[in-house]
Formats: sequence, structure tokens, C-alpha cells
Amino acid sequence: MTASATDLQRHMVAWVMGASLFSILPHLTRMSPALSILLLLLIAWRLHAGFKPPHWSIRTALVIGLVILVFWLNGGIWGRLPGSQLLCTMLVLKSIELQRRRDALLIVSLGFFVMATWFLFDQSMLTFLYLVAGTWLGLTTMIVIQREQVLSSDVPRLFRQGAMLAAPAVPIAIALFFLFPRLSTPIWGIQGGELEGRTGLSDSMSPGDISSLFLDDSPAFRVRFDGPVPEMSERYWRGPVLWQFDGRRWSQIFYGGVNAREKPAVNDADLRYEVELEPHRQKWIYALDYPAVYPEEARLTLDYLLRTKHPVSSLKRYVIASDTDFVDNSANSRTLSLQALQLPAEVAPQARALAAQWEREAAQSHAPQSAEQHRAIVNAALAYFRNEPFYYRLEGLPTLQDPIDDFLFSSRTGYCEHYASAFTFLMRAAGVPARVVTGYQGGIDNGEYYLIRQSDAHAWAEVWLPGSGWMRVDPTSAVAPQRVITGSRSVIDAPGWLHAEWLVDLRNRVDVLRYWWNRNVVSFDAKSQSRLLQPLGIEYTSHTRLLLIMLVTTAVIGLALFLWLRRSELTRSNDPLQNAWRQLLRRLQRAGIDCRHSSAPGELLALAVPALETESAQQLRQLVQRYRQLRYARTLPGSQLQQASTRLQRALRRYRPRPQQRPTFNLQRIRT
Amino acid sequence: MALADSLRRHGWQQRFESFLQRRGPMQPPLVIGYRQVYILPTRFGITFGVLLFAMLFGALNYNNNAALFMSFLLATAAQISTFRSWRNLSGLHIERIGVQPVFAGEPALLQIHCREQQGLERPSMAFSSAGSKTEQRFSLRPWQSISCELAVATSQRGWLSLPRLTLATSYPLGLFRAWSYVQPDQPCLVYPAPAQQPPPLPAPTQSEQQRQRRLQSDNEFEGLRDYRFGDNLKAIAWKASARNRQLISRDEPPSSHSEHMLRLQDTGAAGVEQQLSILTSWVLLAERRQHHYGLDLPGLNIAPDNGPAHLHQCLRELALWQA
Repeated sequence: MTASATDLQRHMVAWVMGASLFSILPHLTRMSPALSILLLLLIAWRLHAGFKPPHWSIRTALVIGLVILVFWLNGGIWGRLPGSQLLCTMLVLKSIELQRRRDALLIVSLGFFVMATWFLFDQSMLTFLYLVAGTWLGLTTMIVIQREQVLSSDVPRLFRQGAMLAAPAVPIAIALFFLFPRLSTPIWGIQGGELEGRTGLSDSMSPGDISSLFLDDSPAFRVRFDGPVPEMSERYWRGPVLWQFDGRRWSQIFYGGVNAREKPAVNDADLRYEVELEPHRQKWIYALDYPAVYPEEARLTLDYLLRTKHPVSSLKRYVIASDTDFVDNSANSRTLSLQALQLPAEVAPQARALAAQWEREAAQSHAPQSAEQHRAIVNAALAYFRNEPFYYRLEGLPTLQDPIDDFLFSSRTGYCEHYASAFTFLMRAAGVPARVVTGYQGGIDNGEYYLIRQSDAHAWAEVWLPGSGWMRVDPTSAVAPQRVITGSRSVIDAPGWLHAEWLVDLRNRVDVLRYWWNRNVVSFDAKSQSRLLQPLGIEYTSHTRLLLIMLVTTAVIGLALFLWLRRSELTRSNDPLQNAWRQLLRRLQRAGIDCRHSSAPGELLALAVPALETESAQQLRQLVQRYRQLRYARTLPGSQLQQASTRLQRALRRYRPRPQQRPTFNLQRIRT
Repeated sequence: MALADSLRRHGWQQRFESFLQRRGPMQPPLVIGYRQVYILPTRFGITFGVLLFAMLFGALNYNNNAALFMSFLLATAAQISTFRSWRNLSGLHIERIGVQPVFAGEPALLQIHCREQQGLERPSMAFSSAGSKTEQRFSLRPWQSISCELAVATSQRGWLSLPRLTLATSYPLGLFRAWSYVQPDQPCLVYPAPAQQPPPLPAPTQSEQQRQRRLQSDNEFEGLRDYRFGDNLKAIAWKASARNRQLISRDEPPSSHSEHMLRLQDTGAAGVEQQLSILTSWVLLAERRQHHYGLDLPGLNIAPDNGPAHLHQCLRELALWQA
């Protein structure tokens, strides 16, 4: 019976390890496989080894080894990725030397912390639900640690107790969430430029880059238009502009990153919209041509890309006004012209020959280097794509030796990136300055907003015409016009089940939920806070005032909660027999018998019997007799007692009191 | 506890006592009142608080709303756990605290009778006494009665007024420790510690009564009576039985035991406490050998006898005897 508070029991080890595994599981999916397998093995070893922790020398070696491993895998320990990995490692190592209750409690609370750090990577609703479940498991584990023994039959009850700690906390936590004063600017800097998995478009394009995104249905960004909405075929969301070609890969150039010389005038802007960009961990944001109003932290480059100082690592919301009629660089600089004509040597001789032929043909009827000649070349290329047997398809793409020539003259099958790449090459070879633009095209109307998915990623070309500046030309539209008019999905036969109508519909619905979550929870900040309070007549003035409101609100909710908890505990106990008894009392009360919540069985009989019908009273007498025996004369052994109690509970709940008929006038007799 | 100790050290004992008294009676029978439960964070609770604060601060800095919500959720759950801890103790019925006399130096075992009378499960509670590290953990199911044993150290003979007991729990999360005080209502009687190696029992004394009885027993017909079922075979007067053709027993078998009057000066020890110790072990020895024994101390005279009640009386007088 004597057990000190410090010792740990065997079953607790399993609970603690389970809870810590639950909390590091999301991190395991993100760290390098070597490290995550190692951590899993350590947990398995600890569980297998049972109660005895390994020798201290082994533990020390493990600590040093694993810290070095994390350092080596990440090239440092600063930043959220190595930081969180280090935390996970520490958690597992601490579980290895789990020996006392204090250790167990510490591990569980560290687990909460590790779970919270996962939100730095992902704040989606699903993650949130996962981590709330983790909190529940953690609290239940803490309860288990406090108990002397845990039978397997206790487990559901313990989870219920855990829920009874977490569930009443929800309303107060919500109130705190909305009212707790936020920082309008961070106190310490947010690390940028970390080596983390990036999603979406990158700053270069090789064959296969964009088509790999086609099956990725995750949202890239959402747009809410304020005013007119452009046609789908006009919705080209501009991303990185690629100038440099090495025969295979298109990439950005330094010069394209300098600030734009001319900026679209704010007054000319004809499209206004708000973009909610999912974190893509790149240093740019997307907009339609040509942004006149954009967020302060972004700058407009020479090729009209909005660049940001830091990678977008959390959900970003910004407002853009675009001027669609802006003329981009009508007089091209010499440097840029040269860059826009750059071609790698000894690549694609056939394509060069074809381009040279077009150039000659165009020169016959138009002045050399005139806008007309350039237009004729562009049209020749588009006609070539349209008339020759080109296919817009994703599957069965051959690996190409010479990406341009093999595509243009043998396979003739490809995705937008192949068309954009080949077209730009042909233009340059024909003397027309051209560049590749990557981004997204289209997006579906999802009710309140337009949803642009990763699968809407697209690549197109821009050519420079003297006098008119840079013009967008989408060679894909020559081959597969519906790609541009109705969206990426209409063109390619992806695996059927993936695009079944109902599934697509379901996914769009889920995205509406996600949008709501992002708007109201993930991007809730100091500004939203003041907006929230304004309709209540509270002008947001200072943190002090907000704190006061918060304290008052939580106190009110807390008091209500306290009263409710007391009431529910007093009226509903853990004893099912007691509950059944109280139900009986309530039934009798409803039948007009003046018994109390606390009436003793004898007292109850004295009150109830005279008021009930003979038979009903007899039944009640028997019930009370059984209740008394079970409750006060505990003579039965445990298992029988349990059975008898269950039977009596059932009988108590089944009982319906029938009050005695009061002598009333017989209506029928009066009538006759 | 730590708080109570430090307050006591700073001469706040009086105030502390009257503070406790104002909250309600502490002696059994007692139902622990809602104002009698005190609660403070444990050391782990403080660590947890620091961790939560770090989480909150980080979440605020990164404006990470999900992490922020989670830290609020955990903080509120911790707060709600104080209610559960309080509920674990509040309303517990402590019916009585019994204690058996012990010899000095042996631990006195307190029998604390507790009853759950609110239909609640009350897990992981512990009794401990002031100034002792040991604690007795126990749990109560709904409606369960339990008797909890707690050892309290004893050092000297006499009445030991039992220290205040602490009933504590850190259920459910271990973040807060709720406790309540229970003051045992009766003192514990502590007998003198029996000497380890006592001198041999002093020679038996023959009292007047005994000598007479010996004379009487020579009389063959004195004290004969009819046999009663259960009489010792040795007690049957066979000759008389033969004569009367029925079994006849002697009323009192001739006493084979010796009689000891125990005196302080016979012990041969120096101090009073040592003398009492030797007397105690003599009393125990005589009782074990079924001798008749009595005490003859200044101001205290107990006639020779034996049996548990007599033993207890002798030990009690020895425990309380003052020179």
C-alpha cells in the first residue's frame, strides 16, 4: 500500500511513450528519414527494454551523437526546422531515461511544446484537430501518471476525465484567443531562407517541373475580386520571369531583379483583388499584370514580378490593384534585348533552321526589326503549333536528348512548359526578343472567392514588339485552347477517380472550410481584433483596455463554468446506481410527490406510498428494499454485487410511478 | 507545506493557527469543508507554467494563432484541474482517528477512518503528518469506506499529542497540490520503552494471602464443589470424587505461580527513565510467564495480578508516573 509519489510504474512508461510518439509524429514526417527511423527505434527499444533505463554512458553517447546528427543533417541548429528536430530528439532522449514520475510529467509537457512547434510549419485545420487530440492524450497521460493503478477497464473513464479537463477549457480558450492583446510587430526576427521543402513553382524551369504539379490539388492561393472579374483566359497570375536558357533549363537573371523603372499608375488600375497566398517558401508573390498597388514589403522588379524580402513562410494576405493596359518597356534597353535573344550554342539546329526560315519569310514582306515582322514570326510559330500534329498530354512523355528539337520534330507531345520553352527558343532564334513566364492560369469560382490550385501552374511566353513592349503569347492556347479557356483539368485525362465529379466537388467544399479557417483563425491579428470589437462599441485603444475586457470576459465564462461543473458533479456522479436512483426520484417528483434530491429511502417510502396506486406502491417498496440491501448491507461478493447493481439500475430506470386517482366527478354521469 | 513552515519560522505561528481555526473545525468527525482546502502549484506546476509562457510568447511573436490557442487551452485546462483537485478533497468525511498505545521509540499507528459519501471517485490522496517525510497514499471509490494507517514517530513516554495531519492530493495533473489539515482529537499513550537487556526478575515475594492459601489447601475438603464442564483435569479432586461417586473439582487449584512486587529500587539503574524502562520490561516478562505482578512505586501501588487489562494498567501507570 505504501508507495511514494516519486516512483513510476510500468504501465506509465507505455502511456508516456505513446503520448510522446503522438506529439513527434508530424515532425517525423518532415525530418530526414535516417533521423526519424533512429528516433522510432529508440522509442521501440525503450518500450521493449521495459523498466530499466540504459547505462549512463550509453545515454551520454546518444545525446552527443544525436545532437551532432541533427546539426550535420541541417547544417546548423538555428531556425525552426533544426530547432524542432532538436526538440524532438531531446524528447525521445528524455524518454530513454524515464525513471520517475517527475520525468514522466516533464516529458508529457515537453510533448505539448513539441506539438505547438509543429504549428510553425502547418496551421491547417486538420493539423489543429490532430494537435487538439494530442493535447487530450497528453492530459489523460498526466492523469494516468497521478494514479496508483490503471486497469484496462479504467481507460475510457480516464479519457473522459481528460476530456472533462480540456472540454470546459475550450470556451475560455476561445475568449482568450480573440481578446488576448496581440503584438502588431514581432519582438524578434523571423528567420528566413531556410532549407525547407518548397511547394509550387520554383525560380527556374526544366522539363517536367510544372507537369509534376499537375496532380497536386492543394491550393496555391485564393483570390477575392473587388469589382469586375476578368475572364478565365485573361487570368494569368504572373510568377518568376525566366531569361536565361542553357538548352534544358530556364532560369532567372540578376538583372531582372532590379527595381522597375516605370510603374503603372494607381489611377489606371482597373482590377482590385485580395490574395491569400499559401506559404510557398519563395521570395515572391503572385499578381495579375501589372500591379499598381501592392503591399509595402514587396517591390516591383524590372520584369514586373513582386519580390519580397523574406520567403513567404506563413499564410500571406495582400491587396493588389492591377492595370491591365500598362505598356511594359516599349523601348527595350540594349542589355535586356541581348539577354532576351540569348541562346545556348550548339543546341537544336533543326529549330534554328526553322526559325531562320520564318525570319526570312517575314523579312520579305515587312521591314526588318519592325513590330510587323515580329508579329508575322509569332503568327508563323503559332500556326506551326496549330497545324502540325502537336499533342497536349501529360502521360508517356519521352525523355528528350535535345529538349527543343526532339519535342518540336519527333515527340510533339508535351505540357505547357514544353510549348513555352520551344516557342521562346524559336522566337529568339528568329531574332524576336522573348522570355518565359511561369505562374498560374485560371482558377475556379468557389463561391465567395476564386481558388487557384497547384495544378493550375502554367508557363507561357512574352515577346517584345517595338513600340508595343512586352506582349503575352501563350503557345499552349494554339495547341489546346480549352486549357486556357476552361482550365487545366479539362485538357488532360488524369486518373479517372481523381477527377470524379463528386470528388472534385467535395474537395472544393473542403477548400471553402479551409478558406474560412484561414480567414478567421490563422490570419487573425491585431487588426482583425480591433475590427472584431468595433461593432460592440469598443474602440480599440490600448493593450491595457483589451486586457481588462479579456479578464472580465474570462471571469464571467469561468464563473458560469464553475457553477455548471459543480452542478453537474453534484447531480451526476460516477456511480451509475446513484444516477438511476436520482432518476427515480425525479420521476416521483414529476408525479407530484414531494421528495427531495437527498431523500433517504425510508423517508421516500413514507412520502410516496400513500400517493401511489396500490400496485405501483408495492413495486416501489420492492425497489427501495433492493436498493437498501445493495447500498447499505453489502454482503455479496464483488462480481455478484456488480450484477445485482446492474439489474437494479435497470429496474429503477424502468419504473414509472402511477399516482392514485383522486376522486373526481364522473363526467359521463353528469351528462346523463 | 513549505509556505506553512516558513510562516511558522517567522513567528507567524499564532496568526497561522487562528487563520486555520477560522476556516472551520479540524478535528474528526469532520467533513472537509470547501474553505478548508488550500491549493498551490507544485514545483512541476511552476515548470509547466514557464513552458506555457514560452509557448505563449513564441506564438505571440510569430502571430501563430494555432499555437496561441493551444497554449490558452492548456493554461485553462491547468486552471480547471485546480477545481478537480479541490473537489477531490472537499466533502470527504473523516469519521475518526484511532490510535493504539505504543512503546516509546516505536511508531504509533494512526487509524484514519475515511468515508466517501458524495458518490465521487477520489483518487490519489495521501495523508502525512507534520515533520515526517512518510506519506500514506490511498484512493476512494464512490461510497467506499477505508481505514488508512499512518505511522507517527514517538520518542518519550506519556501522552503524545498527535501532530496535525495533512491530507493532500495533486490529482488530476500534478500541477497543483491541494491540501487540508486534520487534527487528531485524542492523544496517543506512549509506554516507556522496554529495556533491551533488563536484569532478571526480582525474587518472588510471598504475600500473607498466599501463605494462608497454601495452608488452606492442605485441608482436603476446603473449597470442593461439583465438577463443571471444562474444569481442568488437574483441578479434579479424585479422592473426593471416588468417595462421592461423582466428579468433584477443587474450587481453586493450588497456585503454582509466583508473585512479584516490582519496585524502582530493585532495578539497580541510575536514572528514573532507565528504572521505568526496566520495570516495563519486567512487567512484560512477568506477563509472558503468567506470573502475578504488581507495582510498588512512590505514590503508586498496584496489587499483584495478571492479564491484558492488568498489563495495560501497569504500563499506563508507568507511562504517566511522575517522581
